[in-house]
Order: sequence, then C-alpha cells, then structure tokens
Amino acid sequence: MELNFNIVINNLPLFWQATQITLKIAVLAFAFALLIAFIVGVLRSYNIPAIFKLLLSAYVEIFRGTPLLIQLFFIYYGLPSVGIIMDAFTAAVIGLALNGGAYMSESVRASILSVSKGQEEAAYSLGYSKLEAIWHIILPQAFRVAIPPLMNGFSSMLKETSLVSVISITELTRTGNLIYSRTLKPFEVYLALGLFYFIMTFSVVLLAKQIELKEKRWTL
Amino acid sequence: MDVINNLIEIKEIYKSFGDQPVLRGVSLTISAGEILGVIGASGSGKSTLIRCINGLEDIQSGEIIVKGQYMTNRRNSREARKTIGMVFQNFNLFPHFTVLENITNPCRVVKKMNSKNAEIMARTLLQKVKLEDKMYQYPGTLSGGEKQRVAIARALAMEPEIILFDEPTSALDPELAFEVFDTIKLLAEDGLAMVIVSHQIGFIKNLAHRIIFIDDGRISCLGTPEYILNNNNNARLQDFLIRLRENI
Repeated sequence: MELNFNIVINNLPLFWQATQITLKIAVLAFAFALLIAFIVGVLRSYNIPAIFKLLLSAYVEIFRGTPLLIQLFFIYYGLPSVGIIMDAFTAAVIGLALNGGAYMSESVRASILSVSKGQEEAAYSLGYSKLEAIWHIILPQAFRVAIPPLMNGFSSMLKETSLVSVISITELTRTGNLIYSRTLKPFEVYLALGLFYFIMTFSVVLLAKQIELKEKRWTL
Repeated sequence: MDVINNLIEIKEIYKSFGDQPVLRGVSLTISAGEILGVIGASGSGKSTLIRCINGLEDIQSGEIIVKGQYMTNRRNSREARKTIGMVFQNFNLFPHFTVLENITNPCRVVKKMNSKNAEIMARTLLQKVKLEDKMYQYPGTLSGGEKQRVAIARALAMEPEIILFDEPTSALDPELAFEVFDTIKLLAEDGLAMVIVSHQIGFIKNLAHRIIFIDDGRISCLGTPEYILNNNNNARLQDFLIRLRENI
C-alpha cells in the first residue's frame, strides 16, 4: 500500500471551505452557550424562587445526562413531529449551544462560589446593591477563575462539531468522509482531519494562555 | 434632644445562629462623635453585634435605629449603610482593582461621582493614610498594615458618620498593627464616631470614651476606660482582663 498525500493537498480548497463551516458553527454555538452559561450560572448562584431553581437544574442535568448525538437527532429529526422545523445549520447551533451551555453554566457557578463571602460583605458595607456587587465585584473576580474551564468548553465544542455531520451538514468531518469514499485513502484523509482539528483546538489553547496572562496582573 | 444626638440606638436585640444564641438582649446607644470600645472573649458576640448594626446579619428580634430611621428591611439597611462604614479583620479589599480603584469604584457606583471627582477624593484619602505612592499597585502586593489603611481610606470615601472596626489589627503582626492604630487615631482627631472591637486593650483605653464588655451575648459591663479597667467589681470582666494581660 502506498501513501499518497497529494489527495489531501489537491483537496485543500474543499477542506478549507469545510473548516470555515465548522468554525462558524463552533463560534456561533459557543457565543450562545456563553450567554446561556452566564445567565444560568449567575441565577443558580443566588437565591431565586424555587420553581426557577428547579427548572434551571432540570435543564442542566438533562443536557449533561444525555448524549449530544441524541440531542441533535431529537432537535433535527424529532422536533418536526411537533411542528418545530428548522434547517440543519440552525439545529446544529442550537443543539451545541444548549449542550455546551449546560456544562459551562456549572463552571460559571463554581467560579462565582469561589469568590470569598467577605467580598460581597465589603461591597454591601460600602452601600453597593446586590446587583452592583455582583457586577462590579463578584463577576470580574469569578471571570478569571472561569477562563480555563470556559476555554476548555470552547475546545470541546470545536471537536463536538464533528457530530453534526450526522445531520447532513457538510462540515469538516463530513467533507473528510466524502473525500475518503471517493478516494479510498482513509490514512491520509483522517490524519489530515485530525491535524486540522488539532490546529484549531491548539489555537484556542494559545488564546486561553494569552487571556490568563492578562488576568494575572492581580493576585489575591 | 437625646433622639437627635443618638446616631445609633440598639434596643433589646436577639440574634442566634440556628439554635445557638449569640446576642441575648443587647441595648446600646452611640452618639455622634463617640468612640466606643468593645471587648470580650472570642465567641462572646462582639463581632456579631457590629455586623448586626450595619445589617450584614439579620436579627431575630429587637430594634436598630440609625439616625432616627428603623432598619427593618434591605432597602433601609442600604440607606443606613451610607451612614455607617465598616473595616474588616481580613481587610476585604477588592483584589481585582488597584488601590486607587478600590476607592474610586465605590465612589462612582455608590455615590454616583464622576471619574474625575472620584479620583480627587481617592488621592486625598490615600494621602491621609500615607499610601499615595502605592495607588497604582494591586492589593495583593501590599503588606497587611497597608491593606488595612487602604480599607480605612475606602470606608472614609463614603463619608460615613461612624465606622465600625471588626478587630482591625487581629490579622496583623504587632509592628504593623501600630501603623493602623496611628491611622485610627487620625480619625479620632477628626471627631468621627467609631465602634472598635479589639483585643488591644492598651490601644482602646487611650482612645475610647466608653468601653463595653460583652460576655455570653450580653453587655456585662459598660463604662469609661478607667472604670472598666480598674474600678469595676465584675468578676467575669476581671477574669477576662487577667487572661488578656497574661497573654501579652
């Protein structure tokens, strides 16, 4: 068997197109997931009515307790049965965002709980309202603690986009599959796919390091 | 007349943590400009008392009246806190802000000052506590004594009529405690009312107008420093003072 990496090189334009779709899904889904994680994580850290608390923890537990693949199938193939129809791209972004949001909300919550009680008390004693204390004092400190797990979340999300290939989105993984079935060169194709994903996730790691470095300007 | 002079009135307050009573009927008035020392063994309820005064702890019964206003709910407590400053044992500076921002942020957020005025205010106060050369540093780089002086400056920025000190030097080495004492003395010269919870009897006796001895959740003895330290017949207080002196 002879290896032929020209297959990869000849298909670079196709791979590049597919990578852009993967990135688009990942970035969009991450943005929504962050928003969800922020809202759910903050709400679950403070005293809110029991019914909301129950609903939010149900959301978190259900999305963490079931496979993403099933969630995607359910959103794309299942929901049309009850009249909710959307295109594959939308379904992919919603599925990834809801799933990632559930995981990341726990990181947000943990980071808020890591800020010492004395910080809140100092803010109150100066006359800050609850919201002012959360916004100016608690969240900025929680942010630093949350960066590594949240960037991890982004990295996971980038890799999990490969699952959306099953709802017929021609992103990177599906493009690889198509090229493989056309060329019958699995070694070259999947090695290249792995490399492309690695380049993306490693860039995220480097970016995370930059942000962490910037936040290191203060210590406790 | 009395009502006007009384900055803070505390009437028969009870406070418990779960089924553990901490304050069992404490009544006290503090007038404008008064310096009140609070002494007592660990766990006697001294810290809880001053935390109740500015609403950091809820009370089970009793009344707290700040400048004639009953503190009954969160909104009232917030109003009262604008009159009352607080300095904590563990400083509780905001570590993500520089020394300057620790003062300018509350000025902007709570007092709605513009950035320029907030900075003028902060610089003036940092000069007062002799830390203007550290204003662009983060609290993490300061010594304990410096941190506490910034915390005092921060409390002053809210222009309170009284400051509550919750064991302000307990977390400090003795030589750093002195610089904090010196700062507190400056405030006393300005006529600011203060409640100082401390084990440093030597410091309190020179500064306080009155001292209360808290024992087992009650005010067991109240009087001038001279009375408290030398002329009382309170056996529990004498025991406490002897133990305190032995430790020094």
